[in-house]
Amino acid sequence: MKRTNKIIFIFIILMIVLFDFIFIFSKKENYSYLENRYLKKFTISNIDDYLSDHFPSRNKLLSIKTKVDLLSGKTYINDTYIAKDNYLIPKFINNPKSHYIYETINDFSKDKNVYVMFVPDSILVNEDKMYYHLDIEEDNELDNLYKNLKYSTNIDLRDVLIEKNKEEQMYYRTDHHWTTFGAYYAYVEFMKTKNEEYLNKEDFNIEKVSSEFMGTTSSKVLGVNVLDDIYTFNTNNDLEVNYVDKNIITNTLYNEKYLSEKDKYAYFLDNNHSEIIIHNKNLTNNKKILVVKNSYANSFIPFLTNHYEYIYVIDMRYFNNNVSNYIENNNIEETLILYNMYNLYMDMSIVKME
Amino acid sequence: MNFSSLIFIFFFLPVFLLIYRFIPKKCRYLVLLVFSILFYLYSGLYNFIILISIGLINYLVILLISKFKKLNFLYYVLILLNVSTLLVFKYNHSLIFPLGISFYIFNSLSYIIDVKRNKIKAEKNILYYFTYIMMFTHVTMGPITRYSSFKNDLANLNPTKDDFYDGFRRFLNGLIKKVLISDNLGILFNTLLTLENPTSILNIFILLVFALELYIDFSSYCDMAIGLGKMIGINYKENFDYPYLSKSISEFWRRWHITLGNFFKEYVYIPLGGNRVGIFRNIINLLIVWFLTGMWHGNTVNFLLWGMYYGIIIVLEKHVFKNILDKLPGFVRHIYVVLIVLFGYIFFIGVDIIPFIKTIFSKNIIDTTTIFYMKENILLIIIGIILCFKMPDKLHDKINNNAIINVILPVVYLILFIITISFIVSGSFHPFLYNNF
Repeated sequence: MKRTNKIIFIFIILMIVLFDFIFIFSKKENYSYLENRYLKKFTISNIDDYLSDHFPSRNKLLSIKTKVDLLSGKTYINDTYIAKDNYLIPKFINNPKSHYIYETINDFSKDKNVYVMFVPDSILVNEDKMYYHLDIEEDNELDNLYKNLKYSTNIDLRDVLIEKNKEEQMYYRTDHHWTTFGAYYAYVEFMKTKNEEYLNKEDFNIEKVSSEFMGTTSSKVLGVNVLDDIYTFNTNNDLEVNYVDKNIITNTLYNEKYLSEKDKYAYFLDNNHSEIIIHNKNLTNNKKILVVKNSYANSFIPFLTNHYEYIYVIDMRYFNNNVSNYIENNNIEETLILYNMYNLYMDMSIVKME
Repeated sequence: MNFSSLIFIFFFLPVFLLIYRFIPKKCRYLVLLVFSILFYLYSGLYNFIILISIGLINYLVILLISKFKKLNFLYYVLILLNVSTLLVFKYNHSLIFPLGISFYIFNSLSYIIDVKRNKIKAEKNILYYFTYIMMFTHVTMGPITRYSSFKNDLANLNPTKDDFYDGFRRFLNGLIKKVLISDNLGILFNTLLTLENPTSILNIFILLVFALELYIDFSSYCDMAIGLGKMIGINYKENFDYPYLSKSISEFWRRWHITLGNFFKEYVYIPLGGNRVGIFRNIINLLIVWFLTGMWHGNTVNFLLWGMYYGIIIVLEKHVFKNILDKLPGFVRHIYVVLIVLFGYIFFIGVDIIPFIKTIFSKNIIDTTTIFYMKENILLIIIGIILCFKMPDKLHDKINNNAIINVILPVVYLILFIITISFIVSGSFHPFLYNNF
């Protein structure tokens, strides 16, 4: 026993010295791509934070922690549910100020033709895959929002997404976004609501652009190695995509460069921009629509290009002009407000809209 | 600095041990003093200055009294000064509460009173004195230690190799328990308190989680302190003796935070007359001790109620139920203790007492959220409960002589250590995910 204690001491001390050596001589990173944040710089008052941010094999250790949690039977780690079929599902967080949302939209849509699409999150649509059926607030919140939206045409996607989710994948396993399939059925629902023709799946050339997507949710539970596929639904249109805020004009809705980076969802519409104008040169119907949106719309907007000659896209987090004036100046007849529930509640920038 | 922080484990401790081992025995106490100063200074200059000031005043005044016997009344002034310092910091919320003050004031008080009673001589060597007051192994969370035993150890800092390795293992046990079990129980406890619409089972579960957290947190801290002490050559008294296995509340308090109980017994209860007085006086004495115990633990009314709750129960046990309790079968007495202790924590955890109790007795027994949190943490709770029993330590002693186990054990410790480090490192894991939606 005495010898055992000595060996234990030697093992642990060697481990400590090894970590110390690697720590002292290793190059310190500034930024963590996994966590999307800058790591702490050294000051005397945050030595501990600095040490753990720059600890040798930090990401390995973080995934060890997750594995131990999973082994101990946990299905809820860092606000993320580990669900059946390798789904990682972010928790929904309520916001007591949500009434500002429908108040803003009611004010805005009194004299306009406005469609509202609040997209349910993975947690609502994938409820059947969760190990526990916790009281899901999001359902009530959606009911409440739609009940209070008085002047807009409100499109409820819950039934269709839950139905289609039985056959196809409506949400990524590793990311908080919907898949292009989810966006497609939302597009169909949108066109049905407007009583207009829509394209069938067969009308598209469906292409898998990546099979190595590890989205934002997977960063929360490091060590769960699941990969997602990203698809695009392509049609042959001659497009002019104008990223107004960056003064860049291209002919594609996608940016290849992001497929080799961590956040591959940014492939759609080049991540987030305050203002984008998309012109389909194959159309001459002079139909115009404004999409007020967050990133959920990035994989949805490509479907609209088949029907609108001009699509104006604004993101209220970065867009600081008056939206009503914008509509008037550009002679836009329709507005679509498209947000997913979680981020609608988290960022609340929509209340800037007037 | 905290025993379970990276800076302590990876820098402070190895550097300290290296220097300590290779310095002549006579100078070792100086290493202790220097590292204790560094350790405490890390918690801030403000804390440090307060500690140094209190220490200096006590040291000088005691020295003065020992020179001039006429100044004997200054003992009382000094005791009053120490107690009121503690009270000021406890009850004045505008002041920052200095790290460990409840413990080092109690150490100081025991020193002052012991000198006054001629149990020890006033310490002339200021370096010795400050090593006692500031010693990093006990400055923040005890154990409360008497100067006589500390001084004996300090005079001969020469741990055997066996003690050294044994102490390290004890430290490791404490570290692993603290990080893997009690810290997670703490996170769970805080989450449970924020849940809306509590149920009866949930509130009982909250009390259970807190009971486990408080015990494992404090006792594993003491394991670390005692283990470090053993490595250095300082013998600390045990602070816990499986308190949740007690068969009466009086016994529970003899086995829970033993050094605090001894302090109150030695310096309050016995001077008031202890057991050698009439029933009425004895009841008053017990209530005074428990009033003070409540006060020591926290600065809200709830803590006073908690202290009085135990005071009353102990009075009842001593003077009313004694014969009945003795005749009850063991398991009934165990259940009695667990129920009383769990119920007592309602005062301790800082919730609104009446609504919390009402919920326990409400018809809203259980819901999916409660089940979810119970199931999610089932392993944590089971391990927590096991740690309250003697079984792990008995097993520990049994397998110690098994040759195969002794080969496997270092590997097991290494794995547990790495897992422990992974848990500490992920304390800083803040995935900021939604800057990109």
